[in-house]
Amino acid sequence: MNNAVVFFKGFKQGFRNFSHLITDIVNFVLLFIVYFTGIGIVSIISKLFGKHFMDLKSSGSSWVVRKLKKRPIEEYYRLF
Amino acid sequence: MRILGISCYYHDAAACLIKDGKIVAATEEERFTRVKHDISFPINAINYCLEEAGIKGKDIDYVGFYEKPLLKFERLLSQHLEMFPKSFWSFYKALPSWINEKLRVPSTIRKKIGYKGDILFVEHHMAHAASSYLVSPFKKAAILTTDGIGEWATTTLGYANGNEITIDKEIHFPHSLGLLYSAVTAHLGFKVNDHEYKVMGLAPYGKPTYYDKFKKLIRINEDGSYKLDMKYFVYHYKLTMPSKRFIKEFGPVRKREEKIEQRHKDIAASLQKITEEVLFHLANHLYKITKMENLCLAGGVALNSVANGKILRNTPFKQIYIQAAAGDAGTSLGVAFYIYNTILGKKRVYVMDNAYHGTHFSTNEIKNYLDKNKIVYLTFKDDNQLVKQTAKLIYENNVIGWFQDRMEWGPRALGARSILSNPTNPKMKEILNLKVKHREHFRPFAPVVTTEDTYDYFEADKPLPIPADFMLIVYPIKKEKRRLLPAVTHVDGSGRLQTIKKSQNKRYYAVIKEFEKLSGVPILVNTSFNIRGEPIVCTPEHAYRCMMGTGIDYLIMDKFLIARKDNPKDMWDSEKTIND
Ligand SMILES: [Fe+2]
Repeated sequence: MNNAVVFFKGFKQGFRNFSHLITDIVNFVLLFIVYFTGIGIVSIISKLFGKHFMDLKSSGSSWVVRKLKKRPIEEYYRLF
Repeated sequence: MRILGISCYYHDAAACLIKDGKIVAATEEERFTRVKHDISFPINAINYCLEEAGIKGKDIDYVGFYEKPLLKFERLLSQHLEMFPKSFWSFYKALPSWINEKLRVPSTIRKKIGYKGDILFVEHHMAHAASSYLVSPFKKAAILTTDGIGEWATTTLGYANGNEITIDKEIHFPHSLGLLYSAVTAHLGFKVNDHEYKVMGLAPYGKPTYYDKFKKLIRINEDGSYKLDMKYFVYHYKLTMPSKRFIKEFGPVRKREEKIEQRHKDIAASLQKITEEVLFHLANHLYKITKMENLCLAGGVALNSVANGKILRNTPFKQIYIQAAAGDAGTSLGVAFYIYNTILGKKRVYVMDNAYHGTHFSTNEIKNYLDKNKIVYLTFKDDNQLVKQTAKLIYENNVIGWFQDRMEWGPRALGARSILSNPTNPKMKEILNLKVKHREHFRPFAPVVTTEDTYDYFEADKPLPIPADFMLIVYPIKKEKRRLLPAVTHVDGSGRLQTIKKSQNKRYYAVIKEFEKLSGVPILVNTSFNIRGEPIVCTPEHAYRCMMGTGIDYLIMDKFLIARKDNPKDMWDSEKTIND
């Protein structure tokens, strides 16, 4: 009886580890594709046109003027 | 009207519930889960807030979230678009959590707390600004927020008048004073987003000999802004922070177990110097554009109590306010007050002048816990006996666990979940380290002083700023008093004091005054009540477990006195399980 419990516990744990491994592999493959196609293509094309997404090198002031004040309540429902 | 503010998924998840513009409860998730700086959805903190108010999720009028998640996601994508293909591993690590939880905030809130009403999203630095200004005593003020990173902003300058807050201008990622401090924290072998305060404690042991090197990697502009030279950093595309060029300039990264050498101390001193310089520069520019006399600070950098203590002396501002939870936990409070006072335009009726907004336990609950677990204890017959006995035990150099009333909001122990001891004993620092804290030798212990005695012992600003009540300001200890307070005087003669008024915490105040009768000094050592690497204790069980696992001699919990030596069956060694 005890042996059977130990076996099933071990089996369950092994199966769980296996499913985590599969999830990691699927995640990796999917994110690899998204990164190197989605991000990659947009990034290369943008850079060809001189577009930058972050200010890494410019000199001068780093202030971004906002004048951010209270807005209508509907604007706060948005996640952006 | 009840409003719940929530912050989570970055650092220090927390919840704050306000009712008609006043705090009902505010607390960090880590206190319940026992995971330091826990970032997960703060369901335990929320449940506690609701329980404190005696309501359910459906009774809340508004829920506020401390940032705009899609703006933050846009910044994340921008980072990867800019840094392709170098950022793959950072993308691989970050994206699953965005898909699984960070972009699903509304459904998570509704599902976990059974809430069907409106959820409002306020920009992160606006939540920071509101967290300080709207609970300050000021009718108008200039506001400076500085942290690691919000959505895009890392530093903002703003001002407020009445209920209205304006963020005038901001500095965007990757240029971040907070991330500079974290990058150097990593370089010095400490934990990022946790051990920055250790670097601050290390700084007075060094000389700022690396200051010129720091000037190469951060440029301070005449218009008050600053910019980092990103060749020295990799955090915008990697999971680590300093770059190879940084290491070439400042030497190899210290491994956690490696000895701290003079070089490390000098780097810490130089970092602290440049951080202060940037902060003063920002604040002076803010004064120039606002001409306001009051300054509110918020954001993780506002936890730099050494810099905070120098701001009024280095700028034209006359008064300063910092809320007890100046870091990200505080934005849960900020968003709740922003909704109430600013979006809904309700009158400001609250000033945060104490930090006791967390859990509490009745005398009966504590007694039941002690009896149920067969813990040997004594009961004080009244407050007078409790105060006298506690002061005597402290005077006799015992280390006391002090667990009273409502837990503190924010990262500091302020006399509700504190360890108290004798500051006049030259050996007390070693005793505390040996028995409980096991800290690095360079880290100072903090003093608590009664407000009316502060100027006798400290060279503090006048009038005394409220943030000194929250242990957010370091001041020099008067030269002639330093020898009286060896356990709390840092190597540079400073002390990170907490000031306390009778109205804030009667029992705590009375113990300090009673200690003065014995020692001549109205000051105690006050350090956080926790096992090394764990959050501050929250419940009677945590407090008892902490005493029994460390060398704390006595625990004074409500009106009960528990001696460690009387309960040998529960003794254990917390140092064997440390993860710090
Ligand atoms: Fe923040």
